[in-house]
Amino acid sequence: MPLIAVENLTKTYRQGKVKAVDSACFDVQEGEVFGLIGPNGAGKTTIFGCLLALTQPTAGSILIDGMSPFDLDVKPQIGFLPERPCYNRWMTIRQFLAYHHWMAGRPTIEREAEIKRVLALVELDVDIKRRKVKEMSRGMLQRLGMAQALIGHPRIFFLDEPTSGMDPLGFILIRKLLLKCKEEGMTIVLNSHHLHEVEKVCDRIAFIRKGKIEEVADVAALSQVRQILIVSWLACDIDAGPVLAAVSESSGCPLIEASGEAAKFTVSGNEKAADIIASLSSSGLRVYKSSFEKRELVELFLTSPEPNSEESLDANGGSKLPDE
Amino acid sequence: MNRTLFNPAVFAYTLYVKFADPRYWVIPLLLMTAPSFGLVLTMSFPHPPLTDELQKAVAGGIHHYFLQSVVYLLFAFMFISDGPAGGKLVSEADSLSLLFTRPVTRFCYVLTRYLAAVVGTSILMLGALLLVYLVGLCYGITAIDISLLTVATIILNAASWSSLVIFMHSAPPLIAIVTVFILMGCAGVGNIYSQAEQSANAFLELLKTICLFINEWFGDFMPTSIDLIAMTTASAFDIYELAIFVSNIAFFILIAAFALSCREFSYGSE
Repeated sequence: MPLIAVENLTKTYRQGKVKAVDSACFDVQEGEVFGLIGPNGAGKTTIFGCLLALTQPTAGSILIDGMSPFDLDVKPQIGFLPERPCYNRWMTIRQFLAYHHWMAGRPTIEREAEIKRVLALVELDVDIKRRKVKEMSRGMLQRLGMAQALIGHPRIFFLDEPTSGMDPLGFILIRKLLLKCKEEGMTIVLNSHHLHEVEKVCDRIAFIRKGKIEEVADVAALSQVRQILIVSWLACDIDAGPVLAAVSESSGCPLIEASGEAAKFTVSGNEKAADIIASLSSSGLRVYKSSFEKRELVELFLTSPEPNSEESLDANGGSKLPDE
Repeated sequence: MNRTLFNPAVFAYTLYVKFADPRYWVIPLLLMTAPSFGLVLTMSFPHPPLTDELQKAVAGGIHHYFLQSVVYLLFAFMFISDGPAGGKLVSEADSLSLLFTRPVTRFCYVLTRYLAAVVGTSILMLGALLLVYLVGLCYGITAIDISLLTVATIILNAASWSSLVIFMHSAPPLIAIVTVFILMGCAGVGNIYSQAEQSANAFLELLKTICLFINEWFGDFMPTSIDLIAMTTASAFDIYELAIFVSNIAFFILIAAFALSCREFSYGSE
């Protein structure tokens, strides 16, 4: 039985005129790291809102450990890191974490030890009794957010854009932390624009576009199933353009790029690659070299069916994106 | 997990955070000293001899201040809103969304915040009463009433104002303002109607009855206030007035809980 089961989740706004999430179905197994990726406005945040019981779904069901997310018994099991640090600015770090420890319903006797534990986990080494939340930088706030989410040993860890506002060291820290949480058996659900990071930590990912989950895929299998085939041929008089288009159409493998005497195709397995090479050869192109190129997650996403050119994804983890 | 109606963490946070930083004590202290300051000003200027009548007039004015003062509203708002007293406010939707990922029901949150506001407002208002009483003593004024009935009156009025503010805090801001505006409008119309002669138009009479009811129930542009001293010294204890007062508080707490339950948070925007 999955730890999180989402069935036909739909969320609409403005009397159904705006469909933020459209019949989303996925499940998350215990101990798994599950990523939600998609462009801005795809519905990732709305799905998170429903999972965290901050938003009531219009239709469909969500079960967390067999219970509704609105069930009070679910709450102590979850930790949540919001994208935007919206913490009580005037509290000291110790007060802030103590408050969340208390709110999480944990025993008072564990409080100080637990605060020390989570601060060590996020490598936040400051004077917690004096330093106030408002005096922290964005990256430090993100670490503090991680600390408050990890307080009380949650079973499920929800992270919304965990690397937002962090420096490269912060990226490494988050990755290390997530892998450590995974080792400890924690279930992690994260959404992110930073696809390189997602690829490094996630077991499975769900591609979301326009509120619909287009595909839920295993990250390791995905990068093997869909590969880039690079073929090179000897220079000749044949116009390669129409040949490449015809081969792409007949094989069903999208042509990514063609320049000079080389071309790149997306292929789903060795058989398709062999078909392409054979078709090119039979069309008169003398193929002398072919190889596979490892694909990044972002390329897989961008070359999936019906991409929308207006939507944006941050493959490099740095560019500023419009608000969702 | 047990569903509780009171969360000690929310209660302690609501009261503690307001005064965690001494820089934010200025505004509450100014509000607390307002009646004492008024008394000092009054007594500093030339005034008639301090006869029993003048003492009673001064004490009556101070008593009225603790019945209908808008300071209740300011204190209640200070405790219920997120942020320190007089400090910069944070986005309440953001802080509430993070809070509701913790094991606390929305009804429990409303009740706890409300209770914290009643306790906090009562303490500050009682502090103001004690201060004005001591200042009065310095000027030889002994008529200021600090009996248990006055204390109870202050606590009940703090409860009344806090119920209005908890609703304003719990509902989405625009809905809260519009609701209170409509109630105040009806109360105002009811007040005017109460002085008008009976109309032959049945619809207008019905409207008048509704507005009068809201006027009586909600108060005239202010939450209902109660004066236990006046009630206990009257020939007959007015149970009806007490019932209206209590039901008014219950009404605001219930609609606050309802509004917060219906409210959706997307931890960033609404």
